[in-house]
Amino acid sequence: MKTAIALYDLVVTALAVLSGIILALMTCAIAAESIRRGLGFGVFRGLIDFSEIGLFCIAILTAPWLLRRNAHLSINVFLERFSPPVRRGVQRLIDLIGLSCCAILCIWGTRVLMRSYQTQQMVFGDYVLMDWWLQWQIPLAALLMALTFAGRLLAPFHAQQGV
Amino acid sequence: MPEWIFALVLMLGGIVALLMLGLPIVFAFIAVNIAGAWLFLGGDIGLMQMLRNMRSPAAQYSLAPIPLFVLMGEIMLHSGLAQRAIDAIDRLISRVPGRLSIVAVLSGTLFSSLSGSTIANAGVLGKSLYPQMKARGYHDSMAVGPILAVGGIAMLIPPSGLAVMLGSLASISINDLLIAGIVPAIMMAVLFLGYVMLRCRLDPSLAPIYETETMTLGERLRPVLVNVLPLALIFVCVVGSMFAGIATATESAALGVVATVIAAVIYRRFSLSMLVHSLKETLIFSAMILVIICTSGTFSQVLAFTGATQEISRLVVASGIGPLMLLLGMLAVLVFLGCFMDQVSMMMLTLPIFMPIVGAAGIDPLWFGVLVLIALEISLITPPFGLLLFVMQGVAGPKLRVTAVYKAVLPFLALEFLVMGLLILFPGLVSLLPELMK
Repeated sequence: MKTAIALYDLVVTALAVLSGIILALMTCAIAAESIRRGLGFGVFRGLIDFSEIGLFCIAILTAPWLLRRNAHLSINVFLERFSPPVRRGVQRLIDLIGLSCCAILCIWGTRVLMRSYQTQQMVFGDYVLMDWWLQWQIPLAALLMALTFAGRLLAPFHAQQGV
Repeated sequence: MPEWIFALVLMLGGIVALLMLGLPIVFAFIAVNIAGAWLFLGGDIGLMQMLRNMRSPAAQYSLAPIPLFVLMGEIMLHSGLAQRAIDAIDRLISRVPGRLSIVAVLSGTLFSSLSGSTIANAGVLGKSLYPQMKARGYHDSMAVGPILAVGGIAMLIPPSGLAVMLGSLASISINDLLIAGIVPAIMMAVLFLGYVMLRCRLDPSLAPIYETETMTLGERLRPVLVNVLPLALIFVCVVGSMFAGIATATESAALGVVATVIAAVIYRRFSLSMLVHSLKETLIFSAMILVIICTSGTFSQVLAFTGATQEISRLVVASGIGPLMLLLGMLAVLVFLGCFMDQVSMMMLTLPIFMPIVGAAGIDPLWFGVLVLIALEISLITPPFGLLLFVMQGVAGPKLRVTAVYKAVLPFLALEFLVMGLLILFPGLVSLLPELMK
């Protein structure tokens, strides 16, 4: 179990680090291109594609890390006004909804990925990319987030069982 | 019940209910999108479409300024450059009533022009000035009010991440929107300043005068020349490149980041750990926003596919209500939602409905966009749940009662409404700079 949790932590953190690297690269590339273009040396081919895919990757690959840190934007003002037992109940409901959403995203996301891979669809931009290269992120992130929600739902149970 | 009404009730009602429950915003949108896609977009195919829809809303080059503007502000904050600028303005203002409140408004406006984060703006001012204000016997109305009010200006004045998001979601020129926000932001800062000075002149006990270090004019001006003017050049670099049409918003944001890093190096405040920390904070904020944007495609698509968007637009136009009343109605909805909702959710919920109405009623989208930004700014400090109210309480600690915070922001809220009213009466104030740019 400890190994599984360590692996989960490693993957979640690695995806966030990858997003950070993409962000840093994107910043440098856009700035370099503006300077290059200003000096009359033309543009970097593929920069727009890279930035667009980068933004999508930042959004999706960082999501599990944000969830683990409880950093997703939410409106807690009403939740905080409930009594502790009600709040615990509502929190479990939130985790259950979150788990259901992520499970659906993971299942249907995997189907989209599989279909994309089987049909060898392509995306045409400055470069030609395989569509499935852009379809693995959602099922992976959804799986990790489903595990986070499941862990939260099971945590009190394990605590009660003394596990 | 017609399908479009069912879709509208399900999507909007579902979102509001789930948000109020405390579900993170992104999962609230995903949950209603799943229900909407399954019921209205064809079950299994609808869900596959929903998954495919998630990439295109966030994968837009025009959204790149969001992380870049935030990174610029984070570097400014974590390198200590922002604090140096505040300290310089603090030295500049001499012995006057409400001195620290004036410092708050001036340095808040300056920091707004260097950072796109309202939270960072209110946070940095709160941390650095609020303890001093309390120590000097400032009344909460003069300590809390100016900090919170000026904190929100970061949303209007470039670089503003939320303005970029609004421009992208509402299909308004991002360059124009960023430039058009400057005049209203300056109007607000001037009004805040005037109010603080007048109130403190009339009732000096609100912000007692205290002795400041005796300095020559040169000693007062030197820190401004050394620590503020070079930073102002970054603003000139960002806004000037957009204004002159040399760079897009994305490029000027990237240049802004480079200029900020260079400034940090020159001031010897650059370190790798500072850069990593800034990147981490940027990643948190940007991913939080971008992942919500990922869900916007299906949300709008369900409303459009069921005919809800078109029907509302048609009903509104057929009702014969004039554009001005429509505008006021839409702004009233935003201000009301702002009492208990955050800015991103407000935009996501209302823009798919409002923008077709704006188009059908012949309202200038740029004018509407700036007014929406002001409504969003107002919502940041609207009791009971404005986001900045909690930021301030977090900074000040439990000694600051929430009712005192509410009372302190009321006059500033009135001033923000005044600016909104002036912009409604004189739309030329919004289009002034974008017209010049052309």
